[in-house]
Amino acid sequence: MKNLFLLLCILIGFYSVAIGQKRLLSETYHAKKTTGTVEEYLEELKLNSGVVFEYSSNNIEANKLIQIDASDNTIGLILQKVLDGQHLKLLEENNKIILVPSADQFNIEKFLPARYALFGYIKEEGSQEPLIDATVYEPGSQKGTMSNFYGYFNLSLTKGIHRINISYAGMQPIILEVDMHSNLRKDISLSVKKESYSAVVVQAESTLKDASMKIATAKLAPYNFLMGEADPVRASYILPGVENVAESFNGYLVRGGGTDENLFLLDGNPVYNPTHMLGALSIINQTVVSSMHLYKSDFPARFSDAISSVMDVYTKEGNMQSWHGEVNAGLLAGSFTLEGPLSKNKTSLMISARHSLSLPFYSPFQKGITSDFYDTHFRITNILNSKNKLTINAYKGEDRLRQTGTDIDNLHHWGNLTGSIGWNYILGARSFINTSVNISQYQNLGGYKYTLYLNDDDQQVIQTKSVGTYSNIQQYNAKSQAEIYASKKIKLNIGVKAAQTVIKPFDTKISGSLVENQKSFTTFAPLTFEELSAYSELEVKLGRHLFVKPGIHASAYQFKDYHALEWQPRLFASYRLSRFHLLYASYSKMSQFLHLVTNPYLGVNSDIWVPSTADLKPEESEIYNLGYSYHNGKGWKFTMEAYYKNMMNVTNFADGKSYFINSTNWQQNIESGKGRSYGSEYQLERKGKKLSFQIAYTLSWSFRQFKSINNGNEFPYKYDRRHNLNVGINYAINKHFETSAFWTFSTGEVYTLPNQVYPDFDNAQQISTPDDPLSAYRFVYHYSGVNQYRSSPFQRVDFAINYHSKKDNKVQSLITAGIYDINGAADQYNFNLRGSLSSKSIIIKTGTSIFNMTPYISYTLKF
Amino acid sequence: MSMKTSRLIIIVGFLLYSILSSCSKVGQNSGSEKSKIVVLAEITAGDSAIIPVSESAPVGNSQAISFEKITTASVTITDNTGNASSLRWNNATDFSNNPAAIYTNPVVFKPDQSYSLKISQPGLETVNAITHIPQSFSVQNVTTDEGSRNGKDVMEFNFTIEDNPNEKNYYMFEAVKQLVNSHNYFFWQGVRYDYDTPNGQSVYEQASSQQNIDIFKDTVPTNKYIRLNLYTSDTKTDNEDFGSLDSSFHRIFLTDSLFNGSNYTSSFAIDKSYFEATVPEEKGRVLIRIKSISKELFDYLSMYEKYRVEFGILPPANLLSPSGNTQNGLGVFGGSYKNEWVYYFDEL
Repeated sequence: MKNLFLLLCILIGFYSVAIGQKRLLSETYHAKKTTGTVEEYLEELKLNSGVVFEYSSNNIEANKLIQIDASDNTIGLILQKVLDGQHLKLLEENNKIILVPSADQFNIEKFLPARYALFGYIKEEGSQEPLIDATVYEPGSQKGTMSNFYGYFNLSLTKGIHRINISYAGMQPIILEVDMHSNLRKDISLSVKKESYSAVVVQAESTLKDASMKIATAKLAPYNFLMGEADPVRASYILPGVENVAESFNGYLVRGGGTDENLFLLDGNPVYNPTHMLGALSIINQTVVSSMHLYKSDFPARFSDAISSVMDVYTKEGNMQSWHGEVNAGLLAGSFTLEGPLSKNKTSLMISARHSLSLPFYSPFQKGITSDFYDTHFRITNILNSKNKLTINAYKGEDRLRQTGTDIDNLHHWGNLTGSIGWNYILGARSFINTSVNISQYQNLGGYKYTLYLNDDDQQVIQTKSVGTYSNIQQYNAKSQAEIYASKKIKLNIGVKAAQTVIKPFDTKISGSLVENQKSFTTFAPLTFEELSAYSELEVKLGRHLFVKPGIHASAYQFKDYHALEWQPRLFASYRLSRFHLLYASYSKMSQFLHLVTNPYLGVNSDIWVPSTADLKPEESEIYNLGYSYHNGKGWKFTMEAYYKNMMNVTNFADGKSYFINSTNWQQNIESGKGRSYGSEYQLERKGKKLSFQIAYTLSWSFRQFKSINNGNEFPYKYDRRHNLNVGINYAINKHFETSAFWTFSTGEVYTLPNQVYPDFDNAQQISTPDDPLSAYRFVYHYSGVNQYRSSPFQRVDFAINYHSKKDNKVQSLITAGIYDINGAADQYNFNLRGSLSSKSIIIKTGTSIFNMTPYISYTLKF
Repeated sequence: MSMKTSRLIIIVGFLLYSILSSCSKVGQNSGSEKSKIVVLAEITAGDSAIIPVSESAPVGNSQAISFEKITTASVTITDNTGNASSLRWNNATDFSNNPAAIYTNPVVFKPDQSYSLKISQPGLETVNAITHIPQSFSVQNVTTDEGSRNGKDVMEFNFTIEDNPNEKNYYMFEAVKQLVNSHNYFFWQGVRYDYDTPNGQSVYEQASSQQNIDIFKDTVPTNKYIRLNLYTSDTKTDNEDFGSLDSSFHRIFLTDSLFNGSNYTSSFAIDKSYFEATVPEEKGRVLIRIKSISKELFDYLSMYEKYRVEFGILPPANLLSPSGNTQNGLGVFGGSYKNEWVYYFDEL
């Protein structure tokens, strides 16, 4: 608590520094010439500005050449330019301005003209849907800002008339003329562009405020689809540094981190397993998405609880003016979305539901998989008044999946439930506050059946064992975050959060057949922990080219008698080299209190979440990132990043301990170690009127080190893939048809297999076990190392063609047809051994994928 | 050269360098694995040397799994005073079904003594291993009781260990049934005949028709054993790490970290299923052993016990194998001091 008090003091300190003083010298004045010496400008001011001015020529560098432009329209602004870098300070006495020598460089800040806030929401015309990341920009002063996740913006402007450009991708930009003589609330509506295929014009930004990757969710590209089912999360898999991992619990890995190190936020609420069909499809129905950002190099201070990445997804609020909807049917699922006003311009409803379809002609394309899933999204938004807005969100989804085939018989059953109530409040002209209470629940059941056969013909069964695991986790949290626009150069983000997480552990069930009834599992005492966190972050513009964002996140944690306080400093800086070239760098320390222990080799979701304890310290990472971006404003974009990531206290099952946690001493079965990953990422994008493409390449290394594993030596992480290349290409044939293709290639995964087999210890002592059904097959497999072998590379080619009707039509239709996995390649390789004394010792390599090469078609109707 | 061209060359050059410098050293399984000498030996104070030696088989080569006995190896055990003893391959029929070749020597091991093992065989790497037999220790207050666990009749074995404060002790409890060979014989005209052979029975029938002849029984312990299942409720044992305490175990492991130098009272239960033989081949005597074993043997056997439990539940590729103390070879060479109790339930 003492440390939290310290943090609050720091927050208050930040705020105090941020509040700028507003004084005189705000009178308008236009210089008579654009170039001149310091002395010439000072003399001009003395003669023409009407302000009484005093200075000594001995104290100034009088002959320095200065350039003044039209935006320098007050005495204060001109003085800042003229005296920049000189050791002077300014005194104001009896309506007279005096320049006197000073040890510090001249700073006019406190004398700058009065500034006022232009603020409000940016929305889509008609639906009143908030637009996230819309640009608000004044070309004259080259000052701008972007709307936040709730569509709120705030731009500090000097007194007088200003012309502001407001733009958003896919929307008709507008120019807003405002006369600023006091703070001004202005809600702005942008309309959809009529011309579908106009070239994308991108405004060169003055600075970059974070290194998040905004995911283009609406693209009609194969990487956004799975068998015709639009999936915005799949769009992130084309990004460098992100690996799509089949048959894992959340479908993706980021920069050498584990699956549990990614935080998936749905409207700010954590979702522990955001996938259907073992990671093949996300729970996010494209029609409900408002925005998606992936954070993997720079983490704003508001984030914690994930040491590798944060996926931040916001859903639509719903149309405030008229009812609209969308119906979709494809091979995998059928869905609908409906949105409209319950009370016009006051209350809106958005509801969406999706259910898997079991089409008989489709089953040959599935590889021994029976899948059944559904998801529902629900949101109500109520505008209480011009300052207050209330939202209620809910999500529920469930999956049941059975995999059968040679050497495989797995059962998976999992589901998520989330709910939240959020309140947006505009606190005056310079502050915006969002407060919410949230609940998130996840339960997972996974089981596999393992059969030993007498011979390779699989006819005579020696023994069948079914192993099942069940786990349940739920979190309750309340949080509040504020954005304070302290001055034109400083913005402060602060927030607090309190959370309680309850994990219900269950034993592992070993029986003759797969168990699906959760009541069959024996539960232990719940593991409950509390977390209280606060963050503070400053966004500071230092001149026109440099932007810095220092921040800190502090989390206090308690589980039983164990307490921890995690300080997580963050720093981001960007520097614009020229109009098109930009450099940025960041450092982030991240922590998470949840550990996921799983045996990734079993092929089932055997995930068990456990809290941090005195033995299992909180997981931490330190990420260093350096980036370069080229953006020419004509559709070409190139980014390059290099990173190094240290991971501390990552977990694994301890060597020699059971994979199955059947007792309260579970901590002894888990070992924590460390890891590191590093690499470089490259992305080339071209957005054209007809042809667009995206190429992403990642070169990376990832390692882990545990005291009891591999003799304590570092070994490659299971998902250590050296090269990863993704190529996506779109071509618009005409106004109705467009075609696209996607190719992904990556180095194979590392895996462990025994390399020697030798006699059983008891057999060598001549000790027999008559009631052991496996007595004839007892021998010991020996491993010389961990992950010493590498599988074949992975690659997949997808193709799609889309037809859409005229966008002006009241009812629009979209038909998507394509072929998934044209080359029929595997997305996962399993290696195993089959051996018996009467048989042979063979390494079995099984290439698996959930789907074969599959042609598909889907139909979407929008109204 | 323009700035644009220079930037392009730098970027492409960096990309090429990155790709070329990143060639993976992790390769596919080449199949060039060579066999290794395997030692699976526990030397016990008071016992003579019996060292099983075999050869491992590389996996994944599509060959049938079979283990070669190494019968021509040079096997030497040296104590810490430098006395070396050579062991010889023992081709007794008692060991014929063993997957390993058994090397023996009448030398008797002593407690609190270190021994080194060296095994050489042409074509294979020479194996060296060192172990230490722990100091002697006493077990007091031994009592037995009848009971039931998991629906099975058990014998509860209660005892108190007098832990040695001068060393770190690793205890292991086990129970086996040592099988015996019974021979029936008789004497006729000063000659001994084996009644269990057809010829002997023929002679017996002929002789017994003339006079009354006694048949004598000779019972000889063999080197063959039956493993008896154990149960424990002692939460201080390490067995919870690889299964629930409701499960049965082959061995029970306990370290003195919680009671070093003090007396420690514990108990375990022995499944009585094989106490009384239902077939003549299973006749024998029950041996209950409380051992203090070397750390390397403790580590190997506790991992081996987990491996045994999970064999058949996890696919082989997911099993974590026990690792021992042999240099350039596989297996383990460990020492033990045992307290042993012998019980007879069969009529021998």
